[in-house]
Amino acid sequence: MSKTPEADFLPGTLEMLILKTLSRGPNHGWGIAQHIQQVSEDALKIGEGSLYPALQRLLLHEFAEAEWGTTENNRRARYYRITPAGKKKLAEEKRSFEFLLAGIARVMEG
Amino acid sequence: MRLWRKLRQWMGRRRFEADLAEEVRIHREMEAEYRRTGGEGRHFGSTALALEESREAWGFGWLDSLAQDLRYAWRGFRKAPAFALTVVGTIGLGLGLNTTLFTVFNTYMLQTIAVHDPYSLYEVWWESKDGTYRATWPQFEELRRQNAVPADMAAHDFLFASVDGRFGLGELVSGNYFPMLGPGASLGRTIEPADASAPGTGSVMVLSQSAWKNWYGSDPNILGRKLWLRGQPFEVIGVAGSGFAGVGDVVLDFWIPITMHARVNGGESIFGPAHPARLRVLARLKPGATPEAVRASVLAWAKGNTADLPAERRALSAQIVSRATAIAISPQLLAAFSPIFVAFGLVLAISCANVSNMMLARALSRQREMGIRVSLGAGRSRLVRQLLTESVVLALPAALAGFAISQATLRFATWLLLATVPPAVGKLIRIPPLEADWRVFAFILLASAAATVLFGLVPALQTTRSNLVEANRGDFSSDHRPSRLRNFLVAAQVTVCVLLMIYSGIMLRSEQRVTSRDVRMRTSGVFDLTMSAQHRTKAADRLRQAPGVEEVAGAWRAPLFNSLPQIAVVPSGSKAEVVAGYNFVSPEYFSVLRIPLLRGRAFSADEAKAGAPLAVISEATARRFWPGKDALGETIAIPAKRQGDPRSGRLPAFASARVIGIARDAISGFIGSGIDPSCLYFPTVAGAPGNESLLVSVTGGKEAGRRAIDSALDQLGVGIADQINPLDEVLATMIYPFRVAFWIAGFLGGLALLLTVSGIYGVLSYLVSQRTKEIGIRMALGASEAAVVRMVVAQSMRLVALGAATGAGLALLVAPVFANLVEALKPYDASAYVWAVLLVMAAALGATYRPARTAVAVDPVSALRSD
Repeated sequence: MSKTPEADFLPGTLEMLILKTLSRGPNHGWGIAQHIQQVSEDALKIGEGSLYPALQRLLLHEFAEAEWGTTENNRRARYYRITPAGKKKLAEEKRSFEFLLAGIARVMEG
Repeated sequence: MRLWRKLRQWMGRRRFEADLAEEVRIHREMEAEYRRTGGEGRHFGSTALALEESREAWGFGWLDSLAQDLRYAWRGFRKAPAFALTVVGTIGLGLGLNTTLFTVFNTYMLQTIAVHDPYSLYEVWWESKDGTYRATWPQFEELRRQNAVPADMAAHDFLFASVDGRFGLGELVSGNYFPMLGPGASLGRTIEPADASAPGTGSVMVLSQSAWKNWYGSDPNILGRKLWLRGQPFEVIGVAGSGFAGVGDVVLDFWIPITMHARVNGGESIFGPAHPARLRVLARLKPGATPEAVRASVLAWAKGNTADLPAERRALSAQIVSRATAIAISPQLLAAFSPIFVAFGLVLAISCANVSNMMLARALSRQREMGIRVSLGAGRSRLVRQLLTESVVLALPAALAGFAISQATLRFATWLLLATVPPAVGKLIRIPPLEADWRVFAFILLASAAATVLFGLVPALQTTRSNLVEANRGDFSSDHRPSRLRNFLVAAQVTVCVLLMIYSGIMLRSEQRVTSRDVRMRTSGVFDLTMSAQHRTKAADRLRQAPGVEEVAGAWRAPLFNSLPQIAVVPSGSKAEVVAGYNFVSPEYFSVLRIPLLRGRAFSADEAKAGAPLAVISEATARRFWPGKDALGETIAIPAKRQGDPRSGRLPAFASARVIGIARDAISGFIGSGIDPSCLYFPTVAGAPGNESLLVSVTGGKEAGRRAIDSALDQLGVGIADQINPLDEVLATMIYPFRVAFWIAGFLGGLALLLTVSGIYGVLSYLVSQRTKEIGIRMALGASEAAVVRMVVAQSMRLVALGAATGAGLALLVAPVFANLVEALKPYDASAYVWAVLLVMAAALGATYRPARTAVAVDPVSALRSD
């Protein structure tokens, strides 16, 4: 079901980043991509080709829910909101990601 | 849950698509705006791909293609309705037959009986060397009180007797039987401990719901009514809970308290000092108890209880059997019924082969289509999925058709059974409601799924194997595998068909054999009466004086019911023991049944009364015991030991008997075994205890005779005779199973033949149409019509001959299973083999006729021009 969205990413990483973004508050697709790019200081650029499938996967697993709303510029947009299950998932992902990262770091230093 | 969300999304997928497209469009606008204000743009993928992958996240692709396949299959079959109907009909027939069988199997072996917690209900007994397997009343009472046995116990004994003039199957039950089983009452109340508190009391009766319905039209005023049973009135106190018809495979009509045992049966009271062992024991396991624990504790108790008895009456082993269903499933039982399961299964296999062949033919003509699909990039698994979907589309209506057919078959078979069974046995038959429950539906779904795979998978794999280049050229002649598979299927069908036909032939011959057998005794104008011992002497005396009655004889076993009991004896002049059939009969037996004494004489009345040490033997016995010598005056020694089948054994009171007469041979045992190979008659009188039957010959016809007997017995008491059966009906009853076996085998065989013929016809028609061009060329080059016909016929007949030979070989292979069951059943009967093979070959030849005509009618010119 969950295909690797981008070859450069570890599986599930993109979903984790989106959930992290959503944990700061509801946001729309473009806003999410923008946020990730800014925070990562242009290191991570998410194209819509991977963003929207990832969002659909989050909806499918009920880690997020979507609702149409309006932006501050009065433009229609679909807002994504993290669910309690999503928050739990994010915490889990974060833990295992840190574990993995620490492992990689040890290998690279060794 | 996730699947449900998926499905919900899929149902509203138009909305989903619109949302997604809108979202991506807005995303692009925001992006464009951002760039205009000087932001750095991100990599932009293809919108179509983004949408496609978003869709895929939900797994819509699978559902979409399924919907596509279903639509496509539906359209395909709408274009060829004859094909679709034939497939549905063929598979439906095979499924229907097997569902019929399963429904019966389900009713007896899977459906639980209508009691509280059926799975903790068991029957338990212990066995001793002399074959005792029933308990005495004190044993039952003591067993119930055992704390070491983790179960509650109830006792019962069968009672088959006439209730108000109707023959009924019933039971005498202990007071705790109904409270322990808990079937409840649908009217009034059931028997309670207070009803069975003292011996000789408790003239109350509980009816089963079906007896209440069939005998009394569900009369709500039945409570309080007095019903007569063996000359005693019983007050109806209730109707048992719906669906409860006793424990075990005998469907019961009534229950009365066990305390009435002596009053209805006569003889020694089970509560008296003699303590006859008559009771069967039901055990309700306590929570957590295992059947093995109960068995072991019962055995330990029984060993202690019988330790003081003579060695042959001490308990040796104990058994426990589940009574959750009417018949407990055991490996032996399944093995005994396996020929039936196999025969029914084979018919389903043939119908699958038939359909498989039709699908194959259809699929081959679609190979160009498949080729195009492959070259457009369809994966093989995708194509197989498409073809399997087509099978499923056919399997579902086939399952429905099969269900309808099974219901119709059950109705028809029940009707046929009741319409053709001899009345003597008809009154004994109780058919439990054969209803389809969830298990039957599960079975038909599973069977249709299995059938789908059987008939759908092979053609699907076969046709999608073609390689791309050939497929695009539309050239498949180089791949011979499909034709090999087709040939195999046809040959296999013929094999099964011949096998089933041979066995229907064998059954038919055995039925003819037993029907034409002369039993060499009088059966018309003779009645067989059964009643309890207490009435028998009086009844015999009264009948002797009744007008219209010629003579009355008594016998231990009535003739023509079943195999004669066997006894080991030592004829004088020899030391070896010989096993022979035997019976106890009164002197009138020979004249009532018109069995002439060829030499010597029958017993005198005094000899019979005294049980004198004498014997009359049959001709065959005389020849076997004393070949070439005069048997009169010789003696037969009876070793003093328990022997034969101890449960039915009854030994003469003397150690040796002198032969005083030689009777003509007759069939008095099982008709399937033919003339008694040996028969010893020992003297008894009609009223002697242990005898089971009174044989009454009458002067008038059957109706007048029955009236004469009825009116004579009515003077003694209401309903004292349990059964009054004309002996010719008893004989017909014994032949009936042979007839039914032939019907079933013949029906299956006929169906198999029909399916095979249609299968051969279908395959050949297809082949001829495939080879139109080739035939055209042959004819253009000067092939004669005869040569073309020969070619078409030879193609099929080679396969048919191969299949027939295999079928006959298989029949020979399974013959040993049936070889020694019944003498009249001869599984090596050559004529059955010859006829079956000839019939199938002729039918197959008939099936090739039309395809051959079509081939001959090919016009070379137009055949060559087409394509």
